[in-house]
Amino acid sequence: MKTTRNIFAVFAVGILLMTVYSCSKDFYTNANVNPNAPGSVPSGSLLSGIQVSLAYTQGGAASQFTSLFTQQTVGAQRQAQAYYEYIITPADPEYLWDQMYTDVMENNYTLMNQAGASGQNEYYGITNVLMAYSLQVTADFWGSEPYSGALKGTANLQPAYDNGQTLYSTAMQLLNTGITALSNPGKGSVYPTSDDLMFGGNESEWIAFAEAVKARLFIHQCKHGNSAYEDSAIAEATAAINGGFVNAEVYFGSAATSNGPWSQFNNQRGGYISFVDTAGGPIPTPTLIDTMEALNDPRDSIYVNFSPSSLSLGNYYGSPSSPVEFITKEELYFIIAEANERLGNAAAAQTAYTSAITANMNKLGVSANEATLYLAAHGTLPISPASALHTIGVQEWIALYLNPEAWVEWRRNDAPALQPIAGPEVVRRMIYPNSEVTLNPNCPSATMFVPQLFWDN
Amino acid sequence: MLLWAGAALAQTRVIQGTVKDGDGNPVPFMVVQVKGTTIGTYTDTAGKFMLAVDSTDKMLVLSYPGMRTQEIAISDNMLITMKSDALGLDEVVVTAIGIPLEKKQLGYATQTVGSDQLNNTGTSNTLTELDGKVAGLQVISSAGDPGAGTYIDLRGPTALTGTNQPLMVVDGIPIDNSNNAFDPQLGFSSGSSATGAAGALYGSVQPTNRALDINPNDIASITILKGPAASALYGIEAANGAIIITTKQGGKGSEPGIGIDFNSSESWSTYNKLPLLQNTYAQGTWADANEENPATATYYGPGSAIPFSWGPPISTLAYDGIPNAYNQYGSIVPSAPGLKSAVAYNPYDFFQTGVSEDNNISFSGGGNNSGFRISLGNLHQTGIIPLSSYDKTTFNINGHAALSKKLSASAGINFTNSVNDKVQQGSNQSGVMLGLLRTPPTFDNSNGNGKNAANVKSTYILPSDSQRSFTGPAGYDNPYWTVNENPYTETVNRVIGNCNLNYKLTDWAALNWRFGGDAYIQDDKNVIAPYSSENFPNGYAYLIDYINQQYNSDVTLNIDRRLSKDLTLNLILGQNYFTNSTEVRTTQGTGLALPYFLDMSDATSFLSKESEGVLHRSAWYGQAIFGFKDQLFLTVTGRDETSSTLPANNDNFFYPSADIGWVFTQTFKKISSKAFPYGKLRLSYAQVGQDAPVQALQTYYAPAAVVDGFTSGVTFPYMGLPGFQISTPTTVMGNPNLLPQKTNSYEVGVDLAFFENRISLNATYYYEKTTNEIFEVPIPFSTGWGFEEANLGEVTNKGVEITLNTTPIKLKSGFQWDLGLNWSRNINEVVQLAPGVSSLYIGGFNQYDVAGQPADEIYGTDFIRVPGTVYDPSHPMNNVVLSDQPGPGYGLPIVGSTNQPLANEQPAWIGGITTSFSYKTARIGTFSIGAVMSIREGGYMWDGTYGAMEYFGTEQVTDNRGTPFNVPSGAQWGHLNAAGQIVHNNGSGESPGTGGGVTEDPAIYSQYYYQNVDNAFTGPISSSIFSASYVRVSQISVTYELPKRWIQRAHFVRLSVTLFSNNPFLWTKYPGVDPETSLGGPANAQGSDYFNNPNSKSYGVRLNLGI
Repeated sequence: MKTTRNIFAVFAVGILLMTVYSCSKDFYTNANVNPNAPGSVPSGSLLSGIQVSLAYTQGGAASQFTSLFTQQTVGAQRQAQAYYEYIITPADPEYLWDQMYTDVMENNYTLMNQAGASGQNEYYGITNVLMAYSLQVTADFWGSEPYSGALKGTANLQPAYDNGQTLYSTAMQLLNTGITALSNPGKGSVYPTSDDLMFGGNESEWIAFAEAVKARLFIHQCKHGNSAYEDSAIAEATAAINGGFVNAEVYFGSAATSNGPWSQFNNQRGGYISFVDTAGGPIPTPTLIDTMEALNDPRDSIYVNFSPSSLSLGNYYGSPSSPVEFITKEELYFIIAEANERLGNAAAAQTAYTSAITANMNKLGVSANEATLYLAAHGTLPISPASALHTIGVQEWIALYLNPEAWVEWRRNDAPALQPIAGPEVVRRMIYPNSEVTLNPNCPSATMFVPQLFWDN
Repeated sequence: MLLWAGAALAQTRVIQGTVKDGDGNPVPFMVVQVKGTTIGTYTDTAGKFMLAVDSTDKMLVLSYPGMRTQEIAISDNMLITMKSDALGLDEVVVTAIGIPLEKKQLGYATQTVGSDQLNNTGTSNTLTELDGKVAGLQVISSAGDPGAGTYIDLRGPTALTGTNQPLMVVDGIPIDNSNNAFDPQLGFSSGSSATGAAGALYGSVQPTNRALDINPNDIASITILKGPAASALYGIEAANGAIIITTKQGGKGSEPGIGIDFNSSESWSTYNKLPLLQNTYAQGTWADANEENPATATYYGPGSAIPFSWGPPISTLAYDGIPNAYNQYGSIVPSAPGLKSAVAYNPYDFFQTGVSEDNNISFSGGGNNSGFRISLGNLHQTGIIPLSSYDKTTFNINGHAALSKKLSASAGINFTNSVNDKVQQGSNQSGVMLGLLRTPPTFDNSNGNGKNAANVKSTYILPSDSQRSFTGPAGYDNPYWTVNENPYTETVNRVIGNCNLNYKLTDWAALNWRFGGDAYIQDDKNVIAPYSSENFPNGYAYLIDYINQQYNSDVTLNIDRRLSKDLTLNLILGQNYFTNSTEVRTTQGTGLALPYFLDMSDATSFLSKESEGVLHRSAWYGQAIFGFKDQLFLTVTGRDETSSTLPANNDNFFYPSADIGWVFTQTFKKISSKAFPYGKLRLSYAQVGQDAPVQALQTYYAPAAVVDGFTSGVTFPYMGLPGFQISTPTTVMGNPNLLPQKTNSYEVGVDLAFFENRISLNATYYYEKTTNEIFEVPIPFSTGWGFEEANLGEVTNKGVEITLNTTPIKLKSGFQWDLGLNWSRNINEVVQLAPGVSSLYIGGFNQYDVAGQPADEIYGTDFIRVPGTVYDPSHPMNNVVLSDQPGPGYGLPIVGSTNQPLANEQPAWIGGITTSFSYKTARIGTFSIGAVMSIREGGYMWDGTYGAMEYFGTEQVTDNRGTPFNVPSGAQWGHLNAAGQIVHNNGSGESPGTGGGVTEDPAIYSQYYYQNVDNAFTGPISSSIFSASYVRVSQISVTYELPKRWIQRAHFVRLSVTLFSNNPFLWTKYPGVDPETSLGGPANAQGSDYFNNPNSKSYGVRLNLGI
């Protein structure tokens, strides 16, 4: 009998062990919490990721498309060859769109809300400016895109599309909000320092960048002339420069997991995109390099390596730790030059034009002697306003090497006069990615040509 | 202590006996059970058993898969002859918690494969052995690599993104069959943990399914439960069916000593099928991709950055005679007198003969009331790819003892150690086939080093230390480089154990506690040396540890009682507890300092990551089987489950089932006759609930990272800075409101026997519907997120399974011919994904689930076609629009940009034929010949290998370069205007629609055509889709078993020799490797072939010895 009792004890223990264990709700709920990932993080842990994502996306997917479209580079193989020939399917812009909306904008939106709710004015201001810049970059690819209803997760599964004009005015409002917040920094206990990879938490540099973005938004709308916008572009660009504008850019690192986008692309997808004439080979020289060689431009050997043993992208943009540039000082001078030329202020245009080329050459490390020689040969604007605009445009196209802004510039000024690689026309806009086409019924239809963006009409 | 006390009480009578089949051969591994109890044992290899019984015990029940269950009155020394039961009508099915049920009691379909049908041919993966043998079971071996995974599909896919693999149970304990496939190239920076290759399916190595750790030689039988009908007992994991493995057990004969079984096999393998290559044209490119004659193309050599085989004819080239590191005969130049002519090399010389040695020994025996079995197995296998190998050692011990007349206990433990040297595959610049199949015929990967090339450094390393490959130092890796300098080693140590205690309360009731666990550590180490073409030019090292533990307990009350003369009740009431924890730890080291020191300590920067997940489930369940007059059986079950993965307020759910089995030939004795002795109808309904994925209720922050489709991107910490983010393109939003998903299934079937059981037929129709399916629902990225976890999917499966087993010839002289056929057809439909979601990427390159289509659809772009016509995979070029725009594309098809469902991976039907001829006499022994054939009809593969080889100019089809473009049937002129509409040039401008049929076309098959129109990169997805139908002979074996009288003097019980072949013949129109292949291994997205490693065929010999 004792044995029988013992046996029952064993089974009782068996049942107890397993069921008592499982009756506790806490035990169950806690088991399902991820121990390796936080559910919330402080603002200081979010900003760097947003900036690196923005830089990597701009210097990666965005720059690949636009440098091929503007013939700064040549698509030699595979997908890059297809893009170069304007063969683009809805799968192709997926990375660009997805990264901009998640890695960049959703994280930025999260930080913006978090900083706004807790009175962290510096983070609040910075995220407003970064959001405006992100909208400008994406709106210049797609025209219409979701913003007012976007970034809300499952709370709005089908965000409406805001048209280009609305997006531009939204960006302008975000910039104003940002400037206001940055002008009242407050310096509470939480503010950016080294986590701000662009300006190290310097509010006045952020304000200058915000003004530079404004200048861009104004000049974009001047394709057929608009003196109010031209005045505003000059005013904002000048304010930025006078406010101590520092080139808005993100530097990458030498460790393999922090290398810049172009260096990674060329290492991991070598041969897809060609930067320079392959010495009699079957791949053509990029129009940009041909143009620069014709102008005897000293910057061509900085942009690319002509050495037959390494026909490749040069170190300034192609090394692992190269920067990805958002807006540079020379672009502000080009904006001032173009706006003045459009307004008929030839002298002011000329001054800004010279400053633009000089700033660009200084940045790239062109010797003073070479810069002087180049300016002597090509530093004077033609008298005809149309020719002058074209000359400014060509120089801006050269200076904005690998910057997506070069495609905007080309669409506005048709400078340089690019020959289409295939078909009758160079592409003028981006198609929408598969995910939007299939999942968001608000997504408008578009090709690589129509509808043209509102400022391109 | 308790057990010892029980043993001391044993006051029982010991009986012993021998079980033989109708031909007088001993029957090993027979279940011998005291009727009405769970006390029992197994016969040993000599068919002998010994059992302690109580004086009140009267009858024994003997059962074995494939044999008729028999009840025998207990006597002291029993000689029992079992009647052969080819029908398996009274076959015993071992259920989840180790309780055998007679098959006639079941109202749902099962099929059992006995040890006689397993491990005859020395395969290492148990699941592969099931190919062609079970109706409704599709077996896909991913590749011929040693240790490559096997995917099994029962009755079609039900889960959209979760696993579709059935539950695997070994001796009553659920075991893990995961494919742990973190892809170092993707997983780390994209922020996902263990979903790398399984999620994206692009590259790295072929994942292994962990059932591979089970030694097939330890398996007594495998029972396949095809639907979810048995899941009240098995729980959630059995929603996709279950594979129940019973291992061999030891018993004790009347003779002293122990039984020893030994078998040894040796086999040799080679590749069975490879893509066809052109060997006419050299490396190089056309001066003008479209206009010129291929003869005027320009030769470019290794290191030129021209990776194409679009060069001039090799017949016009010669070696300049100045040896260099790329070629011992010198550089290639135009032919000239006195120069040695250039030749085409055969890149397939890379493959070698793989050798496999498999040795197994087992001892079995025991004491008076007990039995044990110990086995030791070792497999050493080298692959058809140099330096690939798989070594597995298994150790298994189990024992059982009747400790008293009421208490019995059993326990078993299995230990496995394996080391697998894997090979880089797929879309991975180090993938062996990627480098191999792009190699131009003028480049010798082996550098003249012949068969020993893989072991000679000059094959793959240049004097400058960098890599010797046809693309120069970068591009695609020389396969010899890959196998030497990009090693991937997977080491597994695994223990699976079970214990069972059974206490007999009365004659008809017993308590049973079965518990056990499965724990393993899988250590993967991958190093990519500097100078490799991989994403990190300075190389990287990866250490990945998977630590998996799962434990299971079932406490049951079992009642088996005759309630009245006609009514029996078999009742099980139980409580189950299951827990699983997985942990993945990864370390990535980059920037290797020494080029050829392949170790983590060579790295200069490091990133580490861990991910842990825990799952608890507990359930109360019951099953009652009412038997009426031994002819009508009604089963009802219910299971009440609680799972930790569901929200706390919603974590409990209940699911029922009911089935009826009616042996109508017992009821209507009139229709029962010698010609029609047996007939049974089955009817069943079952529901099973499923819980949510682990940690799916909440959204978490992760270390910041950005990655795109071309590069490995940036990972935080970034230059010493920490960083987190809440959203990335792969992040899934958690959902705190998840509900359990439900599968309802209905099944009707019939089991019939004719002509003294010489013919048996089983047929089943089933319908299965899964609703509230939890999956990662894609949402527009403009929401800020790409996916949300939600209960929205609905999938149905319906189908027919037929098994026909016959013995067409059975002669008194001992000759017998058995022939078995099985056939099944499953119709699967993804009824709904989510409102507004019409397609869902599931893996591979183009594998999607599309609403209204079967799951796993090949989805993508097509050529622009004449309005009103659609793509037809059997005539892919019909009705294309040919460009009427001037330019290089003139006269060629136009590539569209709209994604659409194109073709489906799932077969229309699958079938298997098993046949055996045996000639058995006491005088000269037994000869038998067996063969298994498997057939797959329908189903398509996306053969990206073919499409990429077209682009590179290595596929044999590109031999037609320079010949006129064949005008496809129904082709018309036209092009797309800027708005994307189809228009044609009418001579003066553009008119809508296409313009007239094309009768003459000046276009040629050119480099332009293969690089812009028809290929896997810039061409449409539809241009690389091919039928994957095949007929194969998957196994042939010839066995000779020596007659007893010859071997008795040497005290042998059995001695046989088998000659066998696996996969010897394959008939298919598929242009790539064996169409039974899978880029992502044993994961949902089947149907993708992108430089998959080839499959193999093997020949071998096996010796089987019983002492």
